[in-house]
Amino acid sequence: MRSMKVNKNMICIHSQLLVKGNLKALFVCTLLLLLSACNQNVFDSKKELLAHLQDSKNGYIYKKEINGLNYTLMYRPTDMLVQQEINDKTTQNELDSIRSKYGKYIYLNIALAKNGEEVLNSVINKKSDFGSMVNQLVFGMGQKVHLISQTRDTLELLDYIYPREYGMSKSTNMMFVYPRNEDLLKNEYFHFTIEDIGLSTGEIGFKISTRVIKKEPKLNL
Amino acid sequence: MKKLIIPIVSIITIVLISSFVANNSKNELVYVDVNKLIEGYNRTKVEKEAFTEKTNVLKANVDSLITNWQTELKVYEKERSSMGEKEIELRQELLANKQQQINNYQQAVQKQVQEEDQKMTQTLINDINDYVQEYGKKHGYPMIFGAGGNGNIMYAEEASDLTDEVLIGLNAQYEGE
Repeated sequence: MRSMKVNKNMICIHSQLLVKGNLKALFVCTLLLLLSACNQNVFDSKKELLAHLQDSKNGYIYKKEINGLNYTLMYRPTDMLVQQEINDKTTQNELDSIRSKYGKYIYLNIALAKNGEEVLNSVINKKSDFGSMVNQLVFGMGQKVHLISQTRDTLELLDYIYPREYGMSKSTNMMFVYPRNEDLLKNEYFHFTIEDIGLSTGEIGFKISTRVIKKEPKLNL
Repeated sequence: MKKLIIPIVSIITIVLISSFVANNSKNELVYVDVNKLIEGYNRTKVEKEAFTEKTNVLKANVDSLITNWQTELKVYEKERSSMGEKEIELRQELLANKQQQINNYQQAVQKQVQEEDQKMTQTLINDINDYVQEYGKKHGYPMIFGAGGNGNIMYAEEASDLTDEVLIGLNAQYEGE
């Protein structure tokens, strides 16, 4: 990770200057260090990147609670998907091509939970309701979620995935894929809405800032 | 060293002033009238129309089933004198079963209408809550009260009422302006 390395170098120079007593250079160095720390968006590991994404101050995660149900929406940067496809033998050219392949889309992760459990395990009691909810989650979410631009244009959902976790997860997780539309990102924000899927929550809306998506964090791959 | 003191002091002063401005939230006590917001929100009209359309279809289905049953009842009453005892018994049983089925359907429809109504109201409340939160953060209010006419705010001067301003912003967001 380039900016982290720069930071480490700066800290070394900083301590050397402090020893030498060069105050003017120390002052300039401190300013540069502060500036580089503010703009850090390249990470060495997936763990660091995830921690950055999960900090709500950075604007990649949105949380809501309606009638005891917790909705969490997280933007998934392109590099997190790229990392899943590469290995030690991947060349720079291949990496660039994988990055450009995944970079054409926007990935949004949704987690639905009640009392720290999956929706199917915590909310549904009747057998018939369980069946219809499985059907809803596996096949019907495309009709329930909408990505709407600031100017109220709706973007078509390309695909979504709902992996069954059979009660082993703390939430029902889904990933939605939309085209990385330039017109959408020109605006200040866009809306992501989820209609009521039979959980008495009404429609849930998230207002997502495009600023953070345009300068999305990367992995040092 | 002396040359450095002035720039350092000026930078510290700028940082302090900017942090003071950034953290300076308004200490005003303000409120919004939630009922007025729901009534005045443009989405309410759209959602209510869709709801009415949906419930009208459901009610029309129930009405036509009841009308059919009443017609069958009239026919039975007309033909009853010419029927044998067993046939009367059978027809009565058939009519009673049908009536029970219609009642069950009517109850299911009522439940569905209630659920749709709840969904609609919750959707509007979600929208309003989100916008009021965003408005409060943007304008630096530490708290925005919600007056609902149930006595939680007994008196507030007009200047504390943000309803109109919030409503304008809420509708502008809904219309994509």
